[in-house]
Amino acid sequence: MEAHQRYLDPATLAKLSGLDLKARLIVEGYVSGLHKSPFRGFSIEFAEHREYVPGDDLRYVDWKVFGKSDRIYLKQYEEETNFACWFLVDTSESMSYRSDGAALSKLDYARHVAAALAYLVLNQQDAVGLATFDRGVRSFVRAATQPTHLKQLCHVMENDGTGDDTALGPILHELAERIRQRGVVVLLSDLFDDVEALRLGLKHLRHRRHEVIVLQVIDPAEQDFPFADPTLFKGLEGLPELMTEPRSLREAYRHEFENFLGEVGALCRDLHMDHVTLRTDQPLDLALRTFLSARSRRRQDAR
Amino acid sequence: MFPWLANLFASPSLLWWVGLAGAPLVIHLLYRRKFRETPWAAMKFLLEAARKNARRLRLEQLLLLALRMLLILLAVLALAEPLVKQAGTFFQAGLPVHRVLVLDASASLGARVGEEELFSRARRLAREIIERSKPGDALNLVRLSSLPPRVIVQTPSFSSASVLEELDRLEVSPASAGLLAGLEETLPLLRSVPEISRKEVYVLSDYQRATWDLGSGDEGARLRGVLKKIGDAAELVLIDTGEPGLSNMGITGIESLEAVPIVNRPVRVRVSLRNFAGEGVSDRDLQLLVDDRLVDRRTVSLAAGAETSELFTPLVDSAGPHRVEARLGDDPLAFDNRRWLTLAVKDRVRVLCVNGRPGGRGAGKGTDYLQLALSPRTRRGGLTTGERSVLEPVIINDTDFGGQDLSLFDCVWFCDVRRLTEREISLLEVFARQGGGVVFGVGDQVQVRDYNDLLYRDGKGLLPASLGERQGDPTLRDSIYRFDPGDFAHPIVGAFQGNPDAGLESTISYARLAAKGWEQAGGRVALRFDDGAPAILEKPVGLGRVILVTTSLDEQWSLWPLWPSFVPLVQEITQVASMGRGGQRGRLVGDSLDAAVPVAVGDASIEIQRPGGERDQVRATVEGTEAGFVFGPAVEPGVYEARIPPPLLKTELFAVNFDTAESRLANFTPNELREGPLAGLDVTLGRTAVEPEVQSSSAFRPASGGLTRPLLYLLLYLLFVEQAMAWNFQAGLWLLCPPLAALLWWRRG
Repeated sequence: MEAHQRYLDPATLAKLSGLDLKARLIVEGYVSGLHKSPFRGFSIEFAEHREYVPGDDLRYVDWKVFGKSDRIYLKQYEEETNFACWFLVDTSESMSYRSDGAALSKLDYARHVAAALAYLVLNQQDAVGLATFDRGVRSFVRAATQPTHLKQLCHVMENDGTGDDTALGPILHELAERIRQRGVVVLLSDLFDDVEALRLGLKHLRHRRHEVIVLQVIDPAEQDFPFADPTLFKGLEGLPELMTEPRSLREAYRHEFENFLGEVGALCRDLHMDHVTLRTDQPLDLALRTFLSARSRRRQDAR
Repeated sequence: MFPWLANLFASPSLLWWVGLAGAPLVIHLLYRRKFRETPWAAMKFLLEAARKNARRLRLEQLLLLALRMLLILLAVLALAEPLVKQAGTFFQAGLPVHRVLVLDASASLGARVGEEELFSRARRLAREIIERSKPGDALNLVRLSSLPPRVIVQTPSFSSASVLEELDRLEVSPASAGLLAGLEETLPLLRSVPEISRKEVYVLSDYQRATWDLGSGDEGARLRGVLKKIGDAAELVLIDTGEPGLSNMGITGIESLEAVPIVNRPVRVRVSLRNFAGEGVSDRDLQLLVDDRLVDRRTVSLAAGAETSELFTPLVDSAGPHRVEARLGDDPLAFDNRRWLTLAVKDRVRVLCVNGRPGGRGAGKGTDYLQLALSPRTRRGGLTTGERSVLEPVIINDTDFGGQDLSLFDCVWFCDVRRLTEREISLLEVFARQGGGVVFGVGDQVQVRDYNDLLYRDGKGLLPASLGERQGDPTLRDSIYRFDPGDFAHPIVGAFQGNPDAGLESTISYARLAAKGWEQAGGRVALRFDDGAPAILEKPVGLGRVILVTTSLDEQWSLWPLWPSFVPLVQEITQVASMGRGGQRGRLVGDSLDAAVPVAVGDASIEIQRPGGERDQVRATVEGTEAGFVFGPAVEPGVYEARIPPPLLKTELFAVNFDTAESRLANFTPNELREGPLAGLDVTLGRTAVEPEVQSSSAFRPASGGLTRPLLYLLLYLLFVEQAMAWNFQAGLWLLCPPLAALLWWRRG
């Protein structure tokens, strides 16, 4: 791993303090690894044409003009100024889980992702808002474009500890009502709730014409179920405990879990939402890449 | 532990460990109490998985638990070496075998059938069994013989070649089988290779009745007991190497009828014969050889089972030890066709006469009549017969007895001697044990109490009987006692049978000493008075004999010395008493050869020449006033020659003869064996070196411990399955029971 990319590693981030600092390091680490700016392509509106010069990105060639005039023109865009991005961070008890093999809990991982994406968006002078929730909305920060807004967002996320059990459906309904400005909604949660309720909540957001990106954060142990010795699993969020021989249940559990992931994936596809599963042992660039490519694709689709 | 378990397991005591089978259960329960705890977010999926698989999980856990308990059970069973009975040879093939070959080497196996000796046949069959051994098989070799050594290959050998070498060196022994001892020595061998569970014991014998028919008494029970033990520990195969219907005639005895053989006087030698076969034998040549020279021969015919004896009267022309051999013409068993006798031929018999009553008028000394009787003379001083008397008396007073060298004499007479000192008695005991004769005559002077205390010693001393009070008064002569020879059974009076003119029965005595306790002392009455009281008693002491005459040897108490019976009776008493000097040292194969030598010989080395000419050295030992040597046991029949070095410089001969118990060659048929000595025992009988693996007889029973190895293989396999199940139950189940795994897979699918 190159030096500038080490801040994408959850293990490295866990050793640092200050969420806003870490957000900057994540984004810069990610950006420095790219060959061109990620800021272009999603937060700008069409402005004018200019003639192609060698080295320009062929994606922006206006082929209609080329077909009519036999000249190569590129489309030029203007930065969008009224774009708002909302981060909905699940702080329920289940998000506090961190297995032995992971450097960050799911909540920490979600915070880092949210902070990094917020930094990215604020850097483009777009507005960023935040909502943390468990059974109810715990904090709600209105969208703002000031670069200093990142500090406030990070402060809220850092101070909101682990909460109670989740009720995703009602929360999403509530937030859909509260976020009136159309924008991008990034949901960071393990989604351990009733899938049908989740469907209704997300549908409500779509109804409000929000562009929704679902970043499902899971712990690697939750997917791999690596336990071998007899274990007493103590359920979070009020669920009962279970004493079992994990080896004998591994296959069945994994089957259930993959089914769940499959259901969520299918749900998001149905609602035309981006859905990415983020494992807390993975570098954070996957989240950033997903976010950026999703935005880019949406913009292109919109055009 | 239950006795019946011993029939199922070679090491039933190890079954105590079966309790360990419960260990997995305990561990399982304890294990469940030791667990880790973890908070778990994705609980609803885990709960759902557990709910859907609850039955399967319980079943898997039970199966795994049962498998673990089975593993321990199998391990314990394998260690306990289960015995496979009636299970065929499936589990036996390929396992190493511990074979013990028990070869009958008794004399009867020396019988020949055509050109082949029965023992060669047995050896050939044994060779076939040994050559069948595979690498890893262990072998022991045991010889059935009453002569040592019995166990030829004691430490189990894994080399067939070395055992074959030992087998080739084996020879038939001229002795009985020592069946019980041989089989009892076989038993410990079966425990010598515990790592080989499959055992086979082959007994190759002619199954001679004389050897195997031990009756229903103690010995029969012992035989059945030891065979049962062997049969329990191993596959017992009895192979018959005998031949039915063999004829055999043998010499059963050879003896000299002379008490003391004398130079140039005919020596009566009686040879006894017996036809052991079931059919008559005619015109068999019987030869008598003296010092390996043929001196006489006869032709003998005998009906089936009949006995006879032939009397030979060879002359021996020189004094000293001589060997006499009876030799019978050839027949299947050679051992009993020759028999030997040794003779110590004398030119005179030196007799020491101890006079207890010196002086007196006329024939007043106690020894006067005795001297005359031993060496009769005419009134002119010449011999009464044309021959010189072979008895040579030497007269001494009782006070001079202690200074005599008794080895110069063959017989000592005591005539009315008052008492003997302890030292004198000790010398006399040594003299008697070495073959000398001692004769006590009584009279007025005899101190009865001293005689009883020192010479009788409650039956342990020299005297054949204890002495009592004098009966009759020689002065008044109011009691008259006459001799009554009874049936003339004793050799002392045997010569008087049919000679009433010799006057034995009319001999008159007026007094005598009462005698009693001869049975306790081991004595017997040779001649009685007409009222039944003993007149002459005899007792063997070592090689010699002691004789007691309960009346006087002069006219003091009796008219006997004046009677015609006196001279022949005294001479007969002397000869019988001196028989120990006659050299008839008859012994059987397996006996030790022992003889006394003068103390002066010390611990000199004595050379023993065996019948085959080989020489051995033995050292004489000295204990107090006695010296002697022991050689043996003698393992060959024939004449052994002991050369005693100076100062004695003498040769002693020992005749060692074959025990004709082995001469009866009749043997058991397999059916007779099954119904007789082997009744109720689980054995295999055959006439060839049977291969147990291909034997289909119902009597066949595989050896013990055959399941151990298959159990261990199963154990290893199940250990692997258990590991696989613990890792992935389905994978383990496929290994353990594919149909069950397929069924579960299908149901789940």
